[in-house]
Amino acid sequence: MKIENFSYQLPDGCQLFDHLSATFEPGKINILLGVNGVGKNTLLDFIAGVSERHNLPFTNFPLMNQVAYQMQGAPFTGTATVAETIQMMVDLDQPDGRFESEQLPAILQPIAQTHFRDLSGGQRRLVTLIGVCQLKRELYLFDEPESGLDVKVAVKVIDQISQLAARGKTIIMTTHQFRNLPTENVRLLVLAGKGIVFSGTPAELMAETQTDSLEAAYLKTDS
Amino acid sequence: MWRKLKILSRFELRQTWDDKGILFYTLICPSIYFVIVTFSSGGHPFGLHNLAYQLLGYWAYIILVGVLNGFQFGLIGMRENNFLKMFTIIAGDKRLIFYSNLLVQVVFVQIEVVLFDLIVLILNPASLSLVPMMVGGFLLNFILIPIVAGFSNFILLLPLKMNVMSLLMMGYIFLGMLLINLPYQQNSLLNIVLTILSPFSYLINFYVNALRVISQPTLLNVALLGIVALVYLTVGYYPVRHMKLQSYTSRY
Repeated sequence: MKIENFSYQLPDGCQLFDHLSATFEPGKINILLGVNGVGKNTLLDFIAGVSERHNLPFTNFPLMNQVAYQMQGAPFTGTATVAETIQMMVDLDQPDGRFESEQLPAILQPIAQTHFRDLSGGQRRLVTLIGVCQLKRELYLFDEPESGLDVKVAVKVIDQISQLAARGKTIIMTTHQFRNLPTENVRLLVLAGKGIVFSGTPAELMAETQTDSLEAAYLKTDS
Repeated sequence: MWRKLKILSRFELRQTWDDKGILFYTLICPSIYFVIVTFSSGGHPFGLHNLAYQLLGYWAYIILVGVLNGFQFGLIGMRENNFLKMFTIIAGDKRLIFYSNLLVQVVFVQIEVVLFDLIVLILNPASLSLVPMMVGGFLLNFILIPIVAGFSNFILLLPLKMNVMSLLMMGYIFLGMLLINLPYQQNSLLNIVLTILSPFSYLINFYVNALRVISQPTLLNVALLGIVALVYLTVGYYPVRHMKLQSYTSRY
């Protein structure tokens, strides 16, 4: 999945990307790093097909109906329970699918019958994440999936994402956290200065920057 | 596709039911107005013939406000809170969200029209003879609601904030109501222009001709109503295809 020489201006005229090129490897967890406002979310929107990418230099990306996208915010109906919400997502995704609340992942079982409006912000985010992981798609996009979650839950979420990659699915995710990042099948892309300034494995990034932690390596690349 | 439409409609029905505040504008306000007019005129606000004509105005108001608030503003709200983006991706097609929302609004508007008619029947027992007209109006609404949505779908493309949009639409509704009260003849040029441009006038003209409230339908009027319906159904589809999925007020 490739983007080649992609330039884009925001409606206010601000140049967000200037001849940006990037390659996302299938079957891997492609982690997009970058400071706030650099355009990670905008890029995910183009990859998902939410922003029109017809005639743009995006090649080999699946169509929208083969993309699962966990975005910021959790737009669900307050009076629906967690089980009903996940059930609706699965029903929409799999025409022959039958989903019962007993099939909910263990992490959601304690809140299965809780109404969405009664959940905390972190729990809402978790429900959205787990719902997205239940969809059967080729490409999965996660926008800061661990943000707002406690450390325990964040580890489980990253584990769910790693399982998707282990099943051969392609993941593209953004993050600002370095602590719980998956370690296998990972490829990093650093977005800075209107383009991708590094792409490779975490080990390659640390070697290139001569640092011994991923966080330090990233800070050096993005400075 | 039908299965997805059913699932989304069920979900949006719930969403609409959560936001019952809309009933205040579409059902309670016109009902209170009708009650006040009825009591202030000693129970005989209009002759039966006039009551029939006034009823059309109430129906037109309930439909237009229902479509604007429930359907179009509902979609704009969904766009601004990321619901539209999220569910378009899950459902795989933006149009399914539009159609399911319209379907739910048709059901809601029709319930409101029936409830309003019941209030009229209770307050004015003489209006029992208008029941066949009420049934006719109810059936016509299934055609008219999508046409009215076509008239006002353009607002889905406007890059305006919700509060500005609400103000503009309030003006749009008041102007439309004002214009239907202008004295003009059925076949006058003004009637033709208003039928083309104002959904209020279109609705009244359609009811008048289809239910034969004032006069017999003329060929000119029937042709005009048919062409305007076709044009707005076609034009109204353009915003459905091209409405942005992302919020206008936030990058996220």
